[in-house]
Amino acid sequence: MSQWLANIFEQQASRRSGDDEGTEQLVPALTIEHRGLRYVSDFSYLSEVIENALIVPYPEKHSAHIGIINMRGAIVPVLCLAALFGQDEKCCLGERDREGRPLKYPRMVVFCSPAGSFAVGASHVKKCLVPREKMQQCGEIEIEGKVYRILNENFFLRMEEMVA
Amino acid sequence: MNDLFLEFLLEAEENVQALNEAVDVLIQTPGEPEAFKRVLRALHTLKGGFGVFQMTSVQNACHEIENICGKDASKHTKEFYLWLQSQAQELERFLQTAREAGSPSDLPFTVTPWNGGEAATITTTAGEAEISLEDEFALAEKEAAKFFTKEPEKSQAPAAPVEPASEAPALKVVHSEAPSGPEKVAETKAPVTATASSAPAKPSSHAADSHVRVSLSKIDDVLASIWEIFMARNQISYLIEQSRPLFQNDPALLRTWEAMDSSLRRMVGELESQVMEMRMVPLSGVFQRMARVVQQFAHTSGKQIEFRGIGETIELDKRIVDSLADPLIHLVRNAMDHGIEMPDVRRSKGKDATGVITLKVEISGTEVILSVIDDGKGLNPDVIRKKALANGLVHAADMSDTEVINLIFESGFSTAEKVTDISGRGVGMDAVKSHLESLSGSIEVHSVPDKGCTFLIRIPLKVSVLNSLICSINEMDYAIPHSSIIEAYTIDQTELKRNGHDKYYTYRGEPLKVHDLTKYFPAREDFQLKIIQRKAALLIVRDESVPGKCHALQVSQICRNQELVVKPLPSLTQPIPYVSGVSILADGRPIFILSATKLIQQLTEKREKAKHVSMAG
Repeated sequence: MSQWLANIFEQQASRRSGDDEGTEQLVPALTIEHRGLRYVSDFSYLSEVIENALIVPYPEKHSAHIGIINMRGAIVPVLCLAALFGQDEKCCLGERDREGRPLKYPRMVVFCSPAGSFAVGASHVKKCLVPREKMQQCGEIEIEGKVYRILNENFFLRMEEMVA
Repeated sequence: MNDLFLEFLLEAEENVQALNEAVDVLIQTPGEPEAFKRVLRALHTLKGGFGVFQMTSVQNACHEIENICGKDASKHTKEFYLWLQSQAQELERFLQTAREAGSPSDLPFTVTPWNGGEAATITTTAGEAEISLEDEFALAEKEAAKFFTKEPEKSQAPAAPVEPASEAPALKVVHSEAPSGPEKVAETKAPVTATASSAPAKPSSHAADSHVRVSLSKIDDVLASIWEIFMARNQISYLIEQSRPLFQNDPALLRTWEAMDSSLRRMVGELESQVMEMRMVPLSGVFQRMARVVQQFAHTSGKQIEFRGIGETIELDKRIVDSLADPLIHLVRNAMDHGIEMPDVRRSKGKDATGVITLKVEISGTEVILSVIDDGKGLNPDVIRKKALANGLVHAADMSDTEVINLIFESGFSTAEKVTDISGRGVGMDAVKSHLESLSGSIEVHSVPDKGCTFLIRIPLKVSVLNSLICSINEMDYAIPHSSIIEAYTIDQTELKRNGHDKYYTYRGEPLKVHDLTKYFPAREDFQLKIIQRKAALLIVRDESVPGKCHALQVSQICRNQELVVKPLPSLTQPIPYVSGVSILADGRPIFILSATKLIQQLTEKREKAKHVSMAG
């Protein structure tokens, strides 16, 4: 996402939260849901959300590496968040449909980490506002009664190490 | 980095290169007058350039070397030129440090004293000194004209035109007193700038006038644009194919479209190869550097070593050439230090007293293969094994000799008994390996005790557009470069002979083992239905690691030929050894490009491992 757009978002968030001292400061975030797993991501690392991207799987299966997509001429690797976090790998996107074709996912969320761009599959994505302080912590956060795993700066900075 | 300074560094590097080349000639033929003139010219130009950027220490050093050289080439011996060669190498290192510093600063530079022969006492005569200073003025004027006319803000305070003759003494003072204060340099700079700006359009016969220096990144940008055009062309071609039924009533229109498409393809191809050519440089520079390293080492070590180069006229992408120099120097140094024996030892082994180090370069398919071959003592697997066990590598006892020899690429591994300034610290070979791997290359070593050692480096050539065969394996498309395919055809399944689980195909009278890729690649659920097909699609591919050897690969279907723009695998991608790149098909689908040789290596390793496991079980 472009920086100016992120700034506007942040300004709006600040306005809505009152931005007074002592008031909890809210920051924009993106919730991602797929096959029952939920994540909430730092908005500043979001590049874009693509609808119906075709994933070409690798000729060899790797736990966290699913395949690649074409994002307007740029090849972007698709990663499985579940495998990265040691969750149920069946949730990974690397499977095929009954016809054996690589699965098409409703949405691909493309992030831009310092180590490079990558995409993750999602059934649902939603913008939301979360307390900045909580977003900076590692672990999980509860939003509207549901528990989300946090993808914050720490996560994006460690991408290279995590996929290795 | 300051553009002006960067440009100066580029020119200075060229001058040091010219100096090195001239010295090489003089070492072979001491006293060769033309080469000696080139030495003086290069030193003089360097001196002037350093002066412009107030790099006084190195400027004075160049002046000192010039003085030691004197004017008479016939006075000097080969020893003198070897000393001069070492000074040129120091200058090379100095420029590298200056480049790393990023801005002009007066970095220290000391000339190694020359004590041999009469040259040490050579002093410039009064007449010579006078000529030299006049030259210096002309040179400084020329350098300043070259650099400062590009910065209009520096000429904002126009000085009155200055007569060169009247300014000459000022310059004389600056150089003779080895200026250290900025005000003195400023004194010289201002009038020179004025002189330069007064005659900016002076025609020159210098060859450089017909050249434009363009950064590699700009050429890369042009190439990227060409590849975009190329992909758009592929899409047009795909659309024409898709719209073929629409042209049924107007075949002439279809032919016109096809002709235009073909013409566009040719033009983009030509444009691409022309731009790619701009990046190509000959390897001769690397060869010359190697020869100098060998010459210097032989001079100081007492070993007799001859350097032979094969393939120096081959041209490669500049980035590859630049990145190869350091690993090659390391390998050559190792060969000289650890491989080649002292003359008496060699004689006692029945060898010629002079050891030979050969650097051989050849292009094979889409790879450049570099071999560093020496006829020294080779690597002793027993010594390496012993050292590995001492380092705690307990598996070394069970390793084969080949595996043990390859331990030299492990970090911190050195069998050298003493650390020299050349090698023996054990930090080199793993650095060489990881450096080559960063270029998607590989290195392997072959050694025969007392016969010598060969390091084989493979680097993929920067190929942008690849003629490929698109094959389908279990309904997924993959591209295999034409360069590795000998033949491709669909045969009847009955033509394949079976031996247990293995299948063989008789190719030119020889049975070839068939590697069935449909068994190894991700399979569709209805895979069984596919395999009972009567036909089998076979690719006969060459094994680029073993000359003359070929293999048969079975795929689901041979689809079509296509020119693909090769893109590297993006970061955060799990590297797969046999995937050499990716591309985008005309319909927008990404496609993996497979290296047939590496694929076969991987399949063979897998089979060996499986066999080993089943035998152990």
